[in-house]
Amino acid sequence: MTTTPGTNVLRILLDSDALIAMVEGSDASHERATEIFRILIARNACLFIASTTVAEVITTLQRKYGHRSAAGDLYERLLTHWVEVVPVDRDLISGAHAYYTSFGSKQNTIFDAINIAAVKTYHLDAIFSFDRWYARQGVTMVSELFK
Amino acid sequence: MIATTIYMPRDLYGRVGLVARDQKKPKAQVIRDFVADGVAKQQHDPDATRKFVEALASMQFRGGVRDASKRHDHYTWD
Repeated sequence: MTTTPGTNVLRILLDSDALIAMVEGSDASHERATEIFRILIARNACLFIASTTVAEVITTLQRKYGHRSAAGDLYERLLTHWVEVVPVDRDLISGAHAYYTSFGSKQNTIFDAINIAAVKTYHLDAIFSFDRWYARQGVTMVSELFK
Repeated sequence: MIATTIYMPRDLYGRVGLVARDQKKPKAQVIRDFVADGVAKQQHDPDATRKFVEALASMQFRGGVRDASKRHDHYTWD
């Protein structure tokens, strides 16, 4: 298992689909998301989220569910400092450029490219996402850590 | 990134060099990794993840959307 050199703290980047699966109880991935979050608690993992993912997931909840309460609730929880927000600055956007231009698919967006750049720039151990596309880009999926 | 200058004992710098050689990384990256680890360890609330996940669980709702996580781009932008 990959851990950060010098410590046993597992550092995980959260993607928007993992958060949505967790809060939407009807979602097909909800049970799996809940199980993985339980493991992350047990492992005392340190959670990270890109600032662009914060905007993305809050926008999804607001637009899909037609009211602001779910989005507002999540917004408040992300402001608690229980999750480290990764600033998306010029360096990160620059780092994402290569991944973005190599996509060739409209399914994966600049948000996804920024996530890859965040994992690599901050030496995070894995991404918590159900999108296997990240694995094909060489990013460790959180599910691979707990096989 | 920003450039900074730090002073450290010569023997510590030597040990950084050994780690860099073992890990096949530049010394600057080894130092950045250790600083990032140290800061994260200092700042990390040991209960942060539990608190966050419990907070997420408490706001759970059932919108009846089975593919919300998989097709969130569609639901957001289309």
